[in-house]
Amino acid sequence: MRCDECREKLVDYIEGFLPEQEAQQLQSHLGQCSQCRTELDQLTALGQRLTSDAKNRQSADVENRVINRIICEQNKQLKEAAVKKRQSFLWRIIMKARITKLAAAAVILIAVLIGINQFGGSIAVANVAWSQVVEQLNRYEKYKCRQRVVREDGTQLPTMNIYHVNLSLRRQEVEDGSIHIIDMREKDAITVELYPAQKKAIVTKMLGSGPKKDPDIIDMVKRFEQISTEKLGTKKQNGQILSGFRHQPNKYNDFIVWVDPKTKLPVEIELKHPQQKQTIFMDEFEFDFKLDISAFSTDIPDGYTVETIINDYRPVEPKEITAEDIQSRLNHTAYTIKKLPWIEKMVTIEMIDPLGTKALVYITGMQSDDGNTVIIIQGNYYDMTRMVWIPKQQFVLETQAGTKLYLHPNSAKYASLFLESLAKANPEFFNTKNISEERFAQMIVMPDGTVLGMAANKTLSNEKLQQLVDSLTKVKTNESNSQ
Amino acid sequence: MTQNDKYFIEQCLDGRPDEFRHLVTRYQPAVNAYLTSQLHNLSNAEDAVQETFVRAYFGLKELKKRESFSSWLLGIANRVAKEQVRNRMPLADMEELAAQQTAEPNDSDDLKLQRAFAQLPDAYREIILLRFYANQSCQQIAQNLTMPLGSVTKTLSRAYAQLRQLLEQQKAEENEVSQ
Repeated sequence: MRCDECREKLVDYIEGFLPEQEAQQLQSHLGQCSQCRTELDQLTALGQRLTSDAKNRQSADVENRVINRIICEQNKQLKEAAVKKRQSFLWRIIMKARITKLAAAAVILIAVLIGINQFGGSIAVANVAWSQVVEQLNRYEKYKCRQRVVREDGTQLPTMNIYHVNLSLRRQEVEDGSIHIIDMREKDAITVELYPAQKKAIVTKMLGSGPKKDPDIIDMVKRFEQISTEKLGTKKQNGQILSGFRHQPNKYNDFIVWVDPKTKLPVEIELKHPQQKQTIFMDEFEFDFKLDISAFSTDIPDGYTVETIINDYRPVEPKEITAEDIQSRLNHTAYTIKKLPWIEKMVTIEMIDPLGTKALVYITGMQSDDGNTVIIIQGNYYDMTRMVWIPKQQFVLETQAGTKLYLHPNSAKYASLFLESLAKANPEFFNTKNISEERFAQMIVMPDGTVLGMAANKTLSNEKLQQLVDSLTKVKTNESNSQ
Repeated sequence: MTQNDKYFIEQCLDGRPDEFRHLVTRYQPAVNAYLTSQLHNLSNAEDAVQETFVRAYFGLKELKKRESFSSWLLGIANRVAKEQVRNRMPLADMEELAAQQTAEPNDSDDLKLQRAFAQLPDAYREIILLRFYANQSCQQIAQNLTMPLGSVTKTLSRAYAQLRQLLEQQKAEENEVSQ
């Protein structure tokens, strides 16, 4: 092969298009000709240089910006389309987008996470010993322990001795010398941080957040079912034989409890949080400790300087609100509910979302003549661009007007959160004692994409559901507001 | 095996704009390289890159031959570049760009290569873009540009030669300046 022939074929050779025989001829020429070899090397190097320049131009930022611009542009088009009454195509585009799904997932996650501390599950191994531990633990409300948190990333968190009087009152003695008193017995919960060395106190008042029981680790341990608690055998520690038990209620929590077989009480508890990459160790337990109740006082000792922080968690006071009130607060269509013959009492309340989104929601509570309580929920984030998960849920019914109802994926939990909030906001309207096993929640999707939540304490017939949905009357639309 | 362009285009047309992300990832270097070569100004080029993709997304319906997405996209980039040049800024010359860049050296930028690349004739530039910046095989390029495979490798070979020539020319000029 001559040099000019060889060079002509080099690109084909690099790209792998040369028939085998020609490739062999070329290789044998390259073996003899250093100039052609240099030529090949230079071509390869140039290719690599181009590839590396291409790599340098890759930026994840651009993708995000482009997708954001597309979504924004589509939303704009959607608004225009709504005016022109040709929504359906674009709704379809937006609702299928992963981006909008992610936003909605955040909402649904809250509902899912709420279920975490409900220890269920079962491993069918009868274990008498564990039930004895629970029995012993249940004899004590007061206990003291030392608590350490070990994080995998090596960050040190202060070790503390915690004195629990009950789930609403405790004292924490931190290794830095500070003392925390946490008192959630009253309507306004209070935490006091005392720094004796500096004679300084920080008082945090959480208005409206109590009275509250703060489930602690022992409280969780008490609720382990014996059949789902695995026996680990024994270990010897400081001359003492300890029996181990393990309970993994879910992927977020992994408990190991070491118990003194004589007292049947925990000596050591390890709670691993694999997702947070940390383990909480509790030991030096004292059940029924002796400590004067004055040690739990939130009064500030004399001579301390006090810094007060006030966090207001009080629900927005219940008030009858009119269509205009809701319409002035919502950024999308607001609905009123007509008083149906079987509804005896109605109340509309503005409150902080009990699902924990920190958004305001507007709930309409209704009492029916057969003793049911029904709540309709409206809020700024209740719309199909955010709640794209809804169409995947169990379909309930569709009205003639095209309104669709779906079962909430966490129906009972969602219903109880709203029923409890209603009870808290207006105790005369609903009492949490009456919360029923039949309670359920559904999502109402209006033809224009507005979503309303619905929670009921008891089963509601399809007929009543239909009537309720049909009685929803549009208060305003975005367009009428912006035009 | 990654999905082909046609698949993602169909997903987008079926109402899944987030699938467009894959096409942006795939062609961003090519669009970026093309626009930098045309606009000679990096920040303008970044805007133009976004603009090109957004326009492409909303124009997908008009794209008849979905296999030729890449060359169609470069066509859009070409129009965006022309508009920017017309509307916003006088054509900055390469010396100015080089001066700007020496003021803020960025190790990852192969400025010499970019300068040479900007001087390539359109046909050569396109083939280099598709082969190296869009990471397409010669067969794919042949399909996209509706040309025989042999012509693709020949054009690529000539593009290489010219690019090398331009790079050598640059080197010679630099040597002259430094002497």
